[in-house]
Amino acid sequence: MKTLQVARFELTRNLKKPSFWLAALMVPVILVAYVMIVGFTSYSATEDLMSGSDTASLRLGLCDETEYIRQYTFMNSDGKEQTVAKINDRDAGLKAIENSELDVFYYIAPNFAEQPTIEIHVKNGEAGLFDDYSAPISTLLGAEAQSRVEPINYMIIAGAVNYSTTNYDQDDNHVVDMGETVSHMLAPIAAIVLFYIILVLLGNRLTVAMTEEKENRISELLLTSIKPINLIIGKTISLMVLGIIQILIILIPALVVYRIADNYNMLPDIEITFEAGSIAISLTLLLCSYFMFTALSMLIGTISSTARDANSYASVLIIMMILPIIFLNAFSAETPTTLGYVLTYFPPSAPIALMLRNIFGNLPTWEMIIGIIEIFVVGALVLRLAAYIFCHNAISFTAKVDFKKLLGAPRKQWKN
Amino acid sequence: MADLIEVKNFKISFASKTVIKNLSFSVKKGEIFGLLGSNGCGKTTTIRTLLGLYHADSGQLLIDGKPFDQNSDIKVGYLPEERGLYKKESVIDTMVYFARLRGVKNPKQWSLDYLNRVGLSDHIKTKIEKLSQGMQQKVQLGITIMGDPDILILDEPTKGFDPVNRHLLMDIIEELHAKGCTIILITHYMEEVERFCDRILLLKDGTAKAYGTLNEVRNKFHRRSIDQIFVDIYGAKEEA
Repeated sequence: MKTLQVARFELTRNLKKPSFWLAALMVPVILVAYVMIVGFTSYSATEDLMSGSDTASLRLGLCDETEYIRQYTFMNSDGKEQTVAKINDRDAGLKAIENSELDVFYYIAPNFAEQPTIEIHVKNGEAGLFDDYSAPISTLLGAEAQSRVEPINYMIIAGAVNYSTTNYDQDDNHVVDMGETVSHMLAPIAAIVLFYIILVLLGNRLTVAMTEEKENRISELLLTSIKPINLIIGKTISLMVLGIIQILIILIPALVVYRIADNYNMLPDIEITFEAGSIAISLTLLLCSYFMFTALSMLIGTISSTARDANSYASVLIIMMILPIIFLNAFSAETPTTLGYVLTYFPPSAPIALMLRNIFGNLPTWEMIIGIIEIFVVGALVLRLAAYIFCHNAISFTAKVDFKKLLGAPRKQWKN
Repeated sequence: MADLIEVKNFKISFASKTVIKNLSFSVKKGEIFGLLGSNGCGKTTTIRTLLGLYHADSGQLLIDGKPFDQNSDIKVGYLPEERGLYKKESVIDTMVYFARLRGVKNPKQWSLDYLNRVGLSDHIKTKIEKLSQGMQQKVQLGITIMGDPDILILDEPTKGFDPVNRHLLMDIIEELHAKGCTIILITHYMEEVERFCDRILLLKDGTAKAYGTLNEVRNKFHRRSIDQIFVDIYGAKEEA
């Protein structure tokens, strides 16, 4: 009961802090901003292209000194056949532009084969200065080129050849499609991204969670009201809930953006399925990893006198946790290297090592289960150790913990 | 009166320094017991050991006749010398939190009543860091006396208080005493000792220099006031 009171108090006061929401909302805001910028850029580019191609209302003229183009009609953006007026010479074309008899005049010089540049003269009216009017002449040139060579040659040169790749699974040789591969990797990648974001956004909050009482001289008041283990578990619960809130704040907008992108066909043409098993395993690994990280942060808080001290220790912890990313090559092969296995079972680096191996597909289920159990058990033991140290170090307001004395201290029972 | 707390042959040391040397005393149920001494004489160390925050190297601690066990049902309220609160939290949130931890039945109402009594009813939503030092001490005292403790340990409770607030605080302590609460009072104000304490223990360099009822101590040292006895004991150190 007291544990829940601590959890409630800690959670409430963290949720009241603007700094939490600032950090928590930063990621989804950046995500939405990125999608909007990409979407807008893509839309603008399409609009630009369309405005240039939207030639139905334009009067077009062409003077081809090389007489390469024989066909002066093309399909415009309305799907209708449009004719380009044939102009005899460059001066006549320019005169027609000057007199507003033409909106766009194309000129192909006699030396086009040596210097393939086409002049485009545009009468600025409603047309924008930066609009692209190359589409009609490009279409005429393309059609002409296609009619002069074997279609297969044209397709090869134009890069219009399609490639169809079939992947076979290394275990059972079944055909693996891109959608299946992406679906397999989706949850593990999401787990590692979320874990990394939590490390960055909540790391500091976790580390100083146990130093505040010492720095503000609240420990003695607290220790006559609650057992240290209950205090620490209460704080852990609140920090776990904060982490889950943080995950949801990122995941919900991400899913909404995905759905919108999917509805507007903005995603690659890959059939992605959300695999319940993969999601459940990745989620369990993520939560256990966060639990262990919280416990280790608590331990750091209990052995530190001030938040500054705690942050120094926390930096070392973070480096140990991201070691697998530094030694990425140890995991990317079909079978991890010896270092890869060491990092998989070294508790601080185990979370990210397991997540990476899960992404690279070289983590058997039994290893995943052992890894998750190891992470959870280590987290629980570290939490118990943190409570034990807090019993003895909670009122050492300035001195660092004396491990020699600590190990020799008799065990105590707390009750309030 | 029966002994509620019995300390036998306490020895407490930090590193190579022995802070408490063979200390024995008892606190009787329902009394106000004064723990006196100059700064650094071992008062706070003794109290922290009674609370289980420190461990005695040797000796025995009996609570209500039984060996010390923090799983016992005896409720302890402790106002430490080095005290603080959650600076960014409001007065009422802080008090309600501690009231819940201490098992007060109606935490909010209890807190409001207390704040009203000590003149802080206009500050219930004020952040702790915005309160004056004296106001913060009133909140800390409120937290200490929550849940009707059986033993109340007050380490310099009136330090920094003006005379009006000191009277208010001592009235609250007297009320608790009248209800049967056993109080251990650590103070440097000898008039408080003379007024409230039934018995005292005067420590110097971790050993008991004076122990007993006020009259017993006065008679032993042939002095009329505890203040004079204090000066005699600590003056001897300076002469030495």
